[in-house]
Amino acid sequence: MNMRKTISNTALWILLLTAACSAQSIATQTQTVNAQINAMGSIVTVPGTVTLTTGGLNFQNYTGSLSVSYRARTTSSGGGNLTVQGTTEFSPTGGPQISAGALTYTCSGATLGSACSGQQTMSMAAATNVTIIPSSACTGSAPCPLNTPDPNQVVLGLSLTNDPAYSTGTYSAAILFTISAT
Amino acid sequence: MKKLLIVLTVAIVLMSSAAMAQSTTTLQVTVAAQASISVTTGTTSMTNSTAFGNYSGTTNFTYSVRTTNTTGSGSITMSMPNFSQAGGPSVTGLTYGCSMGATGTACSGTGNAVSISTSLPVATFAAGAHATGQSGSVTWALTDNPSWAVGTYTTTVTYTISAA
Repeated sequence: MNMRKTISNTALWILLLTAACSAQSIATQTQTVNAQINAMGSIVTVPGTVTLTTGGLNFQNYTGSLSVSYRARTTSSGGGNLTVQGTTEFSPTGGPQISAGALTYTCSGATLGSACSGQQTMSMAAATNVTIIPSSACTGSAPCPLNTPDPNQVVLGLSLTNDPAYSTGTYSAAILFTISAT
Repeated sequence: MKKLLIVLTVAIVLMSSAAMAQSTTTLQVTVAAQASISVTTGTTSMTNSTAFGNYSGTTNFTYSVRTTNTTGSGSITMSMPNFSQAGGPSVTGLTYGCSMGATGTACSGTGNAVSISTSLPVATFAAGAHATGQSGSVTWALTDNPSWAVGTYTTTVTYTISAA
């Protein structure tokens, strides 16, 4: 009797298990994840302060250089540029004046885009080009086909006139770098 | 067993929206007192127009200078060794006068004596002096002496400009 009951229970479990197996289903669910990669530009670093110096007694220009590191990504129909503009004149007064054309620069060694060509005059009124970034630009190694350094760099050589009319003293001015990308 | 198949579809959308970033650098420059001088007369030839008359000549120069406001000063000096040839005049027989542009005070008079290899004053600059490419000169005179041997006598004058 007990033996029959045990067998009967076992048969029931097998039946239940079979039923469960026959109820198995495969569900497929689709999820779409969008990553919106925008055209973008960023200035990674610029030196906080650049000191311009001169040598000798011949009123040689004050010179200095600074490196701007930047990242950029542009669309196939876009582009971008890195610009610089004087934002505050040399102060105190009595010294050089950016608005008088006293500060010029050259660009070299752009690792992404085309560095400005020749001597440029810094302006207080408008931004002037440092680097022109082409379309389909990207920064870094694969999948970026350009395989550029990350970040990119460009070097500015600065030159400030040394006019005897300047009063002696220490003068400071601020220049603003702007990067834009589309 | 439950099997869930998740299909991830990554859509990369290149947007045309513009992006911009900015950063500022401070430029600093220290403008110090400074001066420069350039002698524009290559060789000053002293000549006389009458027999045993005085020899005379002029040396021209240009100068630029910047001195410190309030406390600064500057000067132009010159010095020379004696004439390199014997039998003739000594530079101690020379006298000189000075002329300056708008900036600077020239040495006074025209009969200033010359000493061998001694710093001789040409001009001084006051505090806050500023000059760009102004012109100055030194006028030389030498009294002839019949005892001198015929020849060309040469010395080299060194001009020094300083500013503080």
